[in-house]
Amino acid sequence: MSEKPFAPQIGKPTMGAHAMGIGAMVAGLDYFAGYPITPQTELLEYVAEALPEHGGVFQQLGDEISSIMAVFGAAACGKRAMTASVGPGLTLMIDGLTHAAGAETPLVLGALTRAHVGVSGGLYPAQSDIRMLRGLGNGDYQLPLYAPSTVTETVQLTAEAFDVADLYSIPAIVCIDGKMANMIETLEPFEVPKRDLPDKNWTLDRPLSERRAVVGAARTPELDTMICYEIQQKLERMRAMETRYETYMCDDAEFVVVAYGIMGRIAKEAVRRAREEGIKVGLFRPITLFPFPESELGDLAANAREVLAVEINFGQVLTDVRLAVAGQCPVQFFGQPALAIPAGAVLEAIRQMAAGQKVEPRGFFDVHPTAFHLAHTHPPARRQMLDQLAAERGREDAQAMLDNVLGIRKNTVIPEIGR
Amino acid sequence: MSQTATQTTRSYTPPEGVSARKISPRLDVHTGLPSTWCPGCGHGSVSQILCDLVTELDLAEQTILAVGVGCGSSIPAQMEVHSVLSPHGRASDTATGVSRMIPDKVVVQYSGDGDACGIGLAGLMHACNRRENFIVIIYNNNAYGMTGGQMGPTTTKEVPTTTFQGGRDEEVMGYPMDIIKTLAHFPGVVYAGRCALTSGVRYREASRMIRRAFEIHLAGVKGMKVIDCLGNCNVNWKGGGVTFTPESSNQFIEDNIMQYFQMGELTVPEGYPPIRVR
Repeated sequence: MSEKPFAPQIGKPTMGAHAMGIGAMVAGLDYFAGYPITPQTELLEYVAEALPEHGGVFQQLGDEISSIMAVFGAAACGKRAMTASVGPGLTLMIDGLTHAAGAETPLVLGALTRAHVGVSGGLYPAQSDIRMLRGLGNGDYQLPLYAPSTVTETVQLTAEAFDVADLYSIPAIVCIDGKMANMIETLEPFEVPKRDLPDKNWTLDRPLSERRAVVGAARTPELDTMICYEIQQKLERMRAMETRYETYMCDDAEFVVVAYGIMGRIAKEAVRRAREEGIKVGLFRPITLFPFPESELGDLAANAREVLAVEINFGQVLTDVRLAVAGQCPVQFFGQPALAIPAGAVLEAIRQMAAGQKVEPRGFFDVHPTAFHLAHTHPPARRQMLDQLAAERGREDAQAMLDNVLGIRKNTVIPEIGR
Repeated sequence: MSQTATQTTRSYTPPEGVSARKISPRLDVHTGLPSTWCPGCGHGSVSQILCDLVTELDLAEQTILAVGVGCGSSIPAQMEVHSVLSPHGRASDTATGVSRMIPDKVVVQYSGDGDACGIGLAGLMHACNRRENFIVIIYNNNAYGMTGGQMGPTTTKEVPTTTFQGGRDEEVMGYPMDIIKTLAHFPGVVYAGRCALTSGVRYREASRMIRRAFEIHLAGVKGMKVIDCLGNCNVNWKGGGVTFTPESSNQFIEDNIMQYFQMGELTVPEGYPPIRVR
């Protein structure tokens, strides 16, 4: 535990990325190792300043793999340790995460997610890594995965994640998207529930005479098989004890919107507006994506006419939603690969669902209405984009739009359509 | 693993000239379990050196082994001390976390050459660059032994591996890496040296060198202490149908492998007399 007690500044405007650090400090963080990646750097900078002041150790290591392995080493000493990364870095960190899960070592991973496949060009926020954070590399296991939707909730759940990790002796993940990471909100009062945590008698900092500690994979087939059963038992216990969700206007809901993280709060606004229009719609917001609140959503679906899943991806929690609904009513999906979906668009989707129509998917030009980036890129891409834009909006409209956007490049010649 | 080990702990006779008072209260850090290493393998020699040293210096309570993946990961079955196993190549990173959190302990990374110089090179070099404070012992047998004798980054031209049966193809695979020469220049490395486990004389040199690393560490000299132990892989140096015995493989190291690698200490802190090697 840290030397000086840490007190969060309630009422202060707080950034989402900082919130993760504040939550960790509240939990008594001892060790943080990380490697810079947008939009995690603000968290790194925050912890670099706050942690040494309170007696902890902050290190910036050679890469993400090193970071999570050093965090694993610190956790093996019974200390509270954390690292955080973003898409491509999380991919690397899964190396250590699967090992820490197999070694039954508690640590906390902050996952800040951004858009696109491979290396991202736009660094846009998205929820595109949820499947990865539930799949997690080799081995048959899952980890508790929290998806807060406000800055205060991020602080609270990060602090709680340390307790959950200790309680089940397993890594825990807190996931916010890039938008939440850069969003600034007032930090509201919050409470971290007190839990009875088990004594860590297996750690490296205990005297050898007490008990010899061997932290890590067992390396005998029988023990490894036993650990697989142990992990499954933990997951069962977590399903019973740790499932969290929020419902909003669901009591008489004929339609249920399922959304989490940043989309949870945007969908809430859309649901509120739809209620004003007289549509009987409610919001179901899973706070834990694992364990997923399956039976709770199933109960809602039993009385619902239709369920709409809203995500900033192409349906990574949709599978769980479908399993929970279990065919009791139709499930529709509304998503896009990058950037938060505006409340107005979600409202339009709710209207379509309530009218018994198929929800129209969001296309490229809904996400990037003017796509000016493409206009500056190489000619074939530009031509294709212009063709598409002109086909959708008419050539004159497209011309005007591009004239407007490409003010800096007045001499851009718009090619003839279909050439 | 540990429970069985405790039950089978055997009695220990201290080496000649060592006071019985200095022996660890646990008497013996060797678990007494049969070794899983092949007959003639140098891993057994290194683990014996470490067992003797840790017992003699009464360090059983302080020592923490950080082990990577390879044949060397069986060392926790031989030594009754706290151990942490990491994935392949990540022992340096795990040791970083451990030594930063409990700095008064003696953290020893035990890795093979594939673990330390192949997959784990970045982690090891960064640890040296950051001036972490732990001991690194690399068992360098010029091959990936656990997987059956494939070529590694340190493999020299003459070693018959299963992936390059005629020896290292320099056109495709370049040259063997001298990890000690590479790391000796880092300001964060306070002790760097190479020993071998090919004969009784070499064994004594090796144990002196490993002991020196411990002494430097215990004297509070902060920084990395890296020792590369050349040893054989008499079973898995088998590319192209070549066979070795433990004796012939040790002779092979003396005759062939040593011409690529500088033996002895390359970096020593001031005030420590050099350890002479043949």
